[in-house]
Amino acid sequence: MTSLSATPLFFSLSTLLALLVTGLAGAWLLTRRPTFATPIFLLLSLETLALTFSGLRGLLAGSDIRLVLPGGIPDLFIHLRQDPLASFFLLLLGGASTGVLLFSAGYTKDMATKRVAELLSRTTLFLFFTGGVFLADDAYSFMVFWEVMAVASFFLILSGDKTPEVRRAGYLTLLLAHGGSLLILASFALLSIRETPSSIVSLSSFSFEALSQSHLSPKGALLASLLFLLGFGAKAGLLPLHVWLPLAHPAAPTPASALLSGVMLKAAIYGLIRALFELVGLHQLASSFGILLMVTGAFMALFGILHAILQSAPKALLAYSSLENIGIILLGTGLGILYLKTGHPLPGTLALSAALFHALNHAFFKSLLFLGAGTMIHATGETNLNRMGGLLRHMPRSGTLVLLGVLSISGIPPTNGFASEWLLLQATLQARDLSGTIQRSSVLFGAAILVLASALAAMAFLKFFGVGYLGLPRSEGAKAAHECSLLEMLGMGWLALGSLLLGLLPGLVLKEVVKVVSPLTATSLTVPPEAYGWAWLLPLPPAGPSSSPLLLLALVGILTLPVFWLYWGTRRGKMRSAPPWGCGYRELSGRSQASAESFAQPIRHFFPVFFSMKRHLPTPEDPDPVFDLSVEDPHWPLLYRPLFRLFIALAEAAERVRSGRISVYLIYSFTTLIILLSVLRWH
Amino acid sequence: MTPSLLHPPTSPLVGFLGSALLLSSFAMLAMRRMGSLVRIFALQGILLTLSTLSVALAAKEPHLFFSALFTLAFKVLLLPFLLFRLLERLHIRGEVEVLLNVPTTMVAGLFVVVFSFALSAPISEMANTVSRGLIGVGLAALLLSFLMMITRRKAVTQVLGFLGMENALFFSAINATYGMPMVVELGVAFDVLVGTFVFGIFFFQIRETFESFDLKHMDNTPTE
Repeated sequence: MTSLSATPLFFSLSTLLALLVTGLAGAWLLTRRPTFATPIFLLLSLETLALTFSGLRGLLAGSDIRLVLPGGIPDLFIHLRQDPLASFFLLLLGGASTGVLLFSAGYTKDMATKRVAELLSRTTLFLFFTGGVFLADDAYSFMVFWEVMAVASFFLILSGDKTPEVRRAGYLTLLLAHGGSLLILASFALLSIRETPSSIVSLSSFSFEALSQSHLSPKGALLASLLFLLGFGAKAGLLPLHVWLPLAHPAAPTPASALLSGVMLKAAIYGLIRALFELVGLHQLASSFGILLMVTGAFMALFGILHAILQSAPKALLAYSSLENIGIILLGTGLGILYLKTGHPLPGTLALSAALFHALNHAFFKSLLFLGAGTMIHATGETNLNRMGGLLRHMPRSGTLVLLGVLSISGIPPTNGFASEWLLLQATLQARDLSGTIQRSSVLFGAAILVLASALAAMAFLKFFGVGYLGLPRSEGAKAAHECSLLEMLGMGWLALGSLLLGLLPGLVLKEVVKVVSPLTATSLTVPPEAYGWAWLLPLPPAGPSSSPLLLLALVGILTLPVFWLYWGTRRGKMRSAPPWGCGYRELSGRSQASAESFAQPIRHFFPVFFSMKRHLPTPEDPDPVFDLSVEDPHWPLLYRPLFRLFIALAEAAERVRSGRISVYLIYSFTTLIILLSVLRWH
Repeated sequence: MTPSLLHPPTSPLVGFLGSALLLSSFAMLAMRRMGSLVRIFALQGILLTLSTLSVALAAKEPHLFFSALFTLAFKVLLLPFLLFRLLERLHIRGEVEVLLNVPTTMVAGLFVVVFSFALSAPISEMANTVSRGLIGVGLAALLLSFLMMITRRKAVTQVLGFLGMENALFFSAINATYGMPMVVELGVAFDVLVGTFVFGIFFFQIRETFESFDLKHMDNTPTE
């Protein structure tokens, strides 16, 4: 064994600690020297860059190191472990946050010092504890890291505008996160049950290694996996626990929304994969659970993207699109479980790898898009797409970067979004190997939904880019838009570069991701990771379909560049600008373009079941005709509001017990005492 | 009641003291004058001291002598002295006002005693002290003090009920396990003392605010 100080785990730990110290000391320093914001954020981004490389190094070396640190309580040690799965997610965390922190260095320039210090300290706390979640190797420290991460995310949301809506979104987030934590805790407890109960419960028995030795009945295993799904799902936006997500992500300040969407949702995915494959263990998972996960994921993807199309605020659109992407990742995970449980290790590994690959891709392009949405809002002072328009003219460089993100998230080849979704689709097409009709049809159903959701995603982002960046400006703010600062562009550029590389070299990525997945599945894979080439994406080696984005790009380049060159070569200097034909109108204004709502109208019309709509159509006799339409998530009127009403009714019923008289209270305690003693004696 | 439920105490003296304590609890429940209540509380302290001493002699547990000494100092001398001074300062002479009339309370108290003995039977089986038959007495005295807290209207009687409960707990501990560890006993004694001081301060505040000690002024019922 090499010395501890040379291991990736030690490096990751020291980077995370350095991050925490820099952030907290920086926040304190800021209150004295407000001009230090930019260098502090730059230093932080260097540290997250180091974290990225630490993750990458651990991943490439395939290292699996454990470390036990003494904790604060006797007999309770902090177990840490960096295995390929943890390395992969550290890489994700570092990669996405490097871009976000670089962006923050420019973004915070015009903000008040107090707000910057707030954002700085909360961001670093969030990053540190998320890193801890990935490294924790026992239930106790995992829960501590997980809970502090949840609280830090709550404060990240609250560092936005100080309005009641933001506070409400924050509290809803906190409520659902804590509910989820309780379920996770319950599942840990379930796994720690042993057949021979020992009177002295050793706290070290809560290490992940000990928990993974559980022997549960099939029902118990299903219960444990369902509890994990709901618990982590509450933080990942699993339907129907997702209501906080579309409220919270847009409410946070831009770098925070990027982190919440790009990183925190992935932490929940990490928790789910770690819990299902390592703690419950593949041998105890049921194939029906895989189907459940897959169908839920498919439904979530469709639901998320349909709502995304309907949003007019860019950040809300991105938040709903996160639901779609999480749905795709869950679909892949469920599909992987189904294949692995039915004895098809190759497509199973492929599906899981595609899910992890998509998680990495989503971290990059969704952070990029959130930052892009932030620059749009900042440049125009508007929060609605209907008040933007024509931004590409004023923000050509950041607009191009956003366009890259838009292409990636829409799954246009040769981007990374295409690579992972195509891999997942290839995995679904192996359904012919499955024997059961229900299994086969549900996989094909998932495949159909996946394709539909990708197409709808392209539509949603066509709206995002088309209404926001193209056409004529729709407000005074859009007319006066300005390009963002260099640092902001650098941050977005880093994320765009990451997306681009992931898209152009998917074979290399797949090779590494398969190394992450293989230990989890614990099934002998017939294909070594080396079989995956670097230029060619070959999901099912040695034969089967293949794709080479580099080749595609080269081909497209060879075909289009001469034409492009010819065109520009012959037209140079001969450009003239003339007013376009205005369809007979005297002048074209921003109001004569298709609005964000009109883009969404056909979707609203075709999929009415997914929305709860209130429409007021004025009659011809109405003297003051106003067309009014409000679209809402159907979970609010159908699930959450009745639930809230029920709780309030129960609380009011319980209130009657509270008479306010001391003697009555004493009688309550006396009666309780008597009853408890009787139960103890004659139970 | 089957005979097994009533273990004959090894020492007749301890048994006598135990029944005297139970009787004094009933007396507290029945007493109508405030001054007499404090006197009975002091009497309880003396009974407690004596029974601790006799258990100490019978079981040859030296640390119980210290407990007896502390009980004497705190519960026979200091606390009654403080309470009497409190009554004097606050000019409390009048009758104890009850929420439930005394005969009914006494009948309820009888049921409580029967319940306590039935409840403590298995504990007495398990305990290996010389006076294990008296655990039921301790429990009964505890619940009777609780009953007193419920049925009285004035704040001062509540405090006496609370102190009576502490006495009963102490008695049970002596008989079940030869007392709690010394540190715990000292701590509890000190707590009770501080509690009495705090109550005293509160009483002055309450009188200044409401001109009365009736609990109904402290009720949190905005509708009334």
